[in-house]
Amino acid sequence: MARYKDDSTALFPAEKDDLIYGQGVIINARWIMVGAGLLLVFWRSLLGSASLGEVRISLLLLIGLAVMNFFLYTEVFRKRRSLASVVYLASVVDLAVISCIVVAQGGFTAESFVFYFPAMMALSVAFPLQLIVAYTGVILIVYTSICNNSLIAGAESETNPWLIIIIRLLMIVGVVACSHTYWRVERDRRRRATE
Amino acid sequence: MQDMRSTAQEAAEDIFFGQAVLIWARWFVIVAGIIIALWGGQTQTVLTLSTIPFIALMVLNFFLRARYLANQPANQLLLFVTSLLDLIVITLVIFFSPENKGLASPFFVLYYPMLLAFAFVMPPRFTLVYTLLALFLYIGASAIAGLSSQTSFLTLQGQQDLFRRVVTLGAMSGLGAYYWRIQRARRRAAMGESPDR
Repeated sequence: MARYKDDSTALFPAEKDDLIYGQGVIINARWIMVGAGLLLVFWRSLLGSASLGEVRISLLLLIGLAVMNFFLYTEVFRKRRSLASVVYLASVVDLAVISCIVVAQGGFTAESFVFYFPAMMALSVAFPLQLIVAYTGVILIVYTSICNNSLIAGAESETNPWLIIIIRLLMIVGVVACSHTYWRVERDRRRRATE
Repeated sequence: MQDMRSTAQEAAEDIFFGQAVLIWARWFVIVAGIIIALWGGQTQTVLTLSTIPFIALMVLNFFLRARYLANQPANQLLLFVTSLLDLIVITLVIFFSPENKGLASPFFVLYYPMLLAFAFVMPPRFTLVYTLLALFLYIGASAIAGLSSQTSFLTLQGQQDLFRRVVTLGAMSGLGAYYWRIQRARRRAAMGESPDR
């Protein structure tokens, strides 16, 4: 098992190990988002299907995410515990970046909301329950607001848009619930094994 | 022989304890499907026909839950078959959506919790097969439905949408399998075994 220098503090000390083991999932989820996001931005900009503003914002956000992820990755690679607050803040940045890209691409009609799924899954296996609930609640409210604003601004859909929004939100909650259920199952298995 | 038996026992325990995750994922798909059927059904026939598969999934889920509670959990084959049924039902929803079908259907999101739950429970090689099946079904249904609609792989928007969805669906399975490995190593370390046995 990897040994880490014990130079961190944690908001929720009982979950330090979960954060250590779960950080790899968060970092990999972020690499997937950055890689796919950059490919899409280059694809859209080279074919002229994205506005200059959208390309600028997307590139700025994704490159910023990549730098942040590289920093966190080197911390893990050097077997140093990242401060828990840094990891929590990094996930806030992830979700904020995804939300900004969704806004830039049209809100309700933006397909980039799918990147919420791996981001929420990753934090659901690493963070304590209180934070998972908080992050999920905030994302549900933020995404609903984004969609609502874009619908008011004229976004259209052949299918009832609120049906689509509710299903998307329900699936995000489903992914979070499944991730945390699995975390609980494995925690109970480890406890039983050591009793 | 001792190691092989322990590995097989470990796999059986993964199924026994992990199937609760699959059951939960299926509940979310069932609830979403019922909402889609009741809210989106424009005629009595559509409403009835679209509700039936999700009621069937509900019965199946009750059955699996009851077996779990009675300490008679499903085996690997049964879980694989039931998970495959989930994929088929979701694909049917995407293919037969009255207004937007195939690539234009917004209900591809139902795949996400199923792929993730499967990756948490099954060994990575089964997860890979399941993921490829899911993508094959989705892309196939979208291609066939796209023959009669304006949204297809031939449009730039369609290709980009498909790319995003395939990447994130694959990411769910990949990250789930990665975390499965992490948890297996933690469990083995907790039992004093080598993490890489």
